[in-house]
Amino acid sequence: MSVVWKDLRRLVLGVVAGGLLILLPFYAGEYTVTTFVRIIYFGFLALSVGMLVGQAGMISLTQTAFFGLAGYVIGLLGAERGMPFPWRDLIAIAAVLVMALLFGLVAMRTHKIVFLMITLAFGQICWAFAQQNTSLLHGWAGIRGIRPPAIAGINFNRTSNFYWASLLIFALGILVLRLLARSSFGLALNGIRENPRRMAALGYPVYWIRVAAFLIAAIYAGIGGLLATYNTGIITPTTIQLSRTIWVLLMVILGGSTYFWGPVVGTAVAVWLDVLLSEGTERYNTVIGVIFVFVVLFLPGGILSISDSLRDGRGFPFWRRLYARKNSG
Amino acid sequence: MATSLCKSFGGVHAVRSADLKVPLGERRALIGPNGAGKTTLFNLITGELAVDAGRIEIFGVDITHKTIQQRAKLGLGRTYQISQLFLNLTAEENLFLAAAAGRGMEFHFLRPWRARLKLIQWAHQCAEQVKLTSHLSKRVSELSHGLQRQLEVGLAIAMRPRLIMLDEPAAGLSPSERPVLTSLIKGLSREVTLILIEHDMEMVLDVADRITVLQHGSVLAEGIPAEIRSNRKVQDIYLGTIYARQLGSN
Repeated sequence: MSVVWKDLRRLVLGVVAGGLLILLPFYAGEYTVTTFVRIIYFGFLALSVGMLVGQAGMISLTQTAFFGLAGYVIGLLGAERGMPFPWRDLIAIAAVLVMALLFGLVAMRTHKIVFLMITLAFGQICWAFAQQNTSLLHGWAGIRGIRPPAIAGINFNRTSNFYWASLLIFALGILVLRLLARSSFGLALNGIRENPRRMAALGYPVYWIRVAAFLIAAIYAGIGGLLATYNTGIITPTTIQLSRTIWVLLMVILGGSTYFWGPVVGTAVAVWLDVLLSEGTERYNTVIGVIFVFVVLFLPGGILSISDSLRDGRGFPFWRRLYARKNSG
Repeated sequence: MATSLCKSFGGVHAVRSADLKVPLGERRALIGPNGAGKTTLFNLITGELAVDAGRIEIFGVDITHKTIQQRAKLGLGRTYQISQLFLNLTAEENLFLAAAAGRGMEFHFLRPWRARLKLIQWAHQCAEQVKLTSHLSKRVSELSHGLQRQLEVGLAIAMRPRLIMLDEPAAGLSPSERPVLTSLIKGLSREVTLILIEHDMEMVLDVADRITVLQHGSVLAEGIPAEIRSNRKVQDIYLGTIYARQLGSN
């Protein structure tokens, strides 16, 4: 009985949340809708990082480069050379896949801190290249005037239309990721996160499973990059700089990297904090920084660990940590 | 079967020219004082270490230069002296991962693993064999050390190997926990060849058909338990200390 109620509650919650999201442009202002579009494209990037960190235990600092690469490809092919939809977009995703494969074949041989450093290096190489290449990528100026296509007579330059399209793609992305997480592939990824040595001894091709995960994660980052570039109309090296990469990693930790919804929740919270705080103060980054310090200290499992903690009857995690500290001190 | 195996770390010859031949279906114990090269020999056979010289063959296949994964697919399963489990997964998920290993299922991206009913059933059978049925839905990190040791063996069984190598299965177990593990090892199918390293002589004498004694990386003696017990050389180097003490305490 309780299981049925739980399912029912989930269904109602899902329908209400879904309805509110779909109807958003009818009751919210244009700025709010644009903010939700931002949540969606950064959400894709966070899902990409979150899948690697949470499911496979790989902290990658390269995902932003794939995000940017997709943007640069549609800028170069679409805005500058007039290649129509969907070819430029498909080529963008293909380019992301090729780069992820080339890089993944090297990086997946490494683990832990070496993996972190090699992904950092790769991300920085991409950023430095974008910044210094003036002939093709126009250095700091980047590529401007990238417009979303009109498909079947629908003008996606209108914020509401673009929002609905993004929401649909996001829903599909989450659905596919959900299936992946529950598949034997997803379980094998978890096994690698927990103990790659045992996975190898059981006969699993650990290396190739990691490469596959890296490719899938890169696609998510690429889709996020496409949506972001269409939305802002511009792609510059700033998009792929290190502070952005760190910001995404923090969003994932904020939401709870081991939870399926963690990256999405973290992105929504961080983007809204960004909006709300920058209205009130110029020291927005300082405030965000302090919030992250508190999250790491008192909610190491992320925002979603609160509900887990309450459900297990362990009380609110914040107080539990304080209490534990008093006892040990 | 291993012939003239050698492995050195820097200037230390951990295994030097060791020979080991175990017939199908036999239960063989490897004993020897600390540093005799038992675990190194294990890691050479399972492929976690590369061989410096010599040849390893299982079931008639030369595996000297095969990867860990290829050896696993040939039917080689192992356990570790220090448990190598998936701590934040449930016991059921642990066993499923072992049961599904080597079937290419890791590249089935969309079908839920819970829909693989036959494999789940097999995982449950293995759980029953290692007496973990009532702990299936628990996270491994919440299980006691003794239960984790049982799961360690369970993972080796679940991959349906033809040869299981047990590296000190009773490591860290209290005297009261040992009989459970001993009985479940004795209860393993007789079709599976077993090689175990163990310091607990009571368990070795109970489980093993034959015993190989290693010292300084090579084989000192080999025989049925009664022969090893009466072997003077063995008594001097090994049984003279640990075994005698254990007998004395009984």
